[in-house]
Amino acid sequence: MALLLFNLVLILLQLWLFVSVLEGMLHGKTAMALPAALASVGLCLVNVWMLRGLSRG
Amino acid sequence: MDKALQDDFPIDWEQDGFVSRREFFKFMTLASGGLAIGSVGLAAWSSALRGERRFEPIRIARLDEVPTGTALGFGYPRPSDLCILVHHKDGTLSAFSRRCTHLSCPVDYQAQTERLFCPCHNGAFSSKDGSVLQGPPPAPLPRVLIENRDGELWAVGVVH
Repeated sequence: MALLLFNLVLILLQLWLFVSVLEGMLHGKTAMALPAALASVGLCLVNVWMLRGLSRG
Repeated sequence: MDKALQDDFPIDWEQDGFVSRREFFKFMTLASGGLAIGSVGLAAWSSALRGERRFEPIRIARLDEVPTGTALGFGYPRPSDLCILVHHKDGTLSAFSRRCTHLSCPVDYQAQTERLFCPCHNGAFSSKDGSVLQGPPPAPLPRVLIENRDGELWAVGVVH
């Protein structure tokens, strides 16, 4: 259950990053797009790692 | 219920829509992957928007048709993309998109202060480099690249 909640927190963080970047781009700010993409991929990898651990257990 | 049927289909009707935590975790991880792909797509899109882009050159005017201290409107790269060419008092030339980066109102050249002014929300840009001088605009004006070809001014590209 704790893993599931952590998974939800990470996805909410990704969603927040995505919306922030989109909003920034619509206002002409593109500087944060690449760091946010890297962070989002990193969070996704954490989620995949947790899923693999769950599948093995 | 028939015993053989119950053995063949052990899941109750109420449990038919049951989603286990593991299945839910898988679904959420899939959503996470989708968001990651979307973020990478946004980054790729933003890098495509930045920088210099060349379009089909168009003739704006002859240099002597734009006296120093005045400005001339034109459309580039499409006729509906409003731009403004400024001939500065020191003889230099610069051109920018006329669409204010705040809410896309057209900016006007003010010769006394040498700035591009947006009347909608009192935003102002430098007529030299397009940078924001005052007001709510969040970003500089895109610059239009111009070339002087034997006294004729041509627009050849846009820099964001």
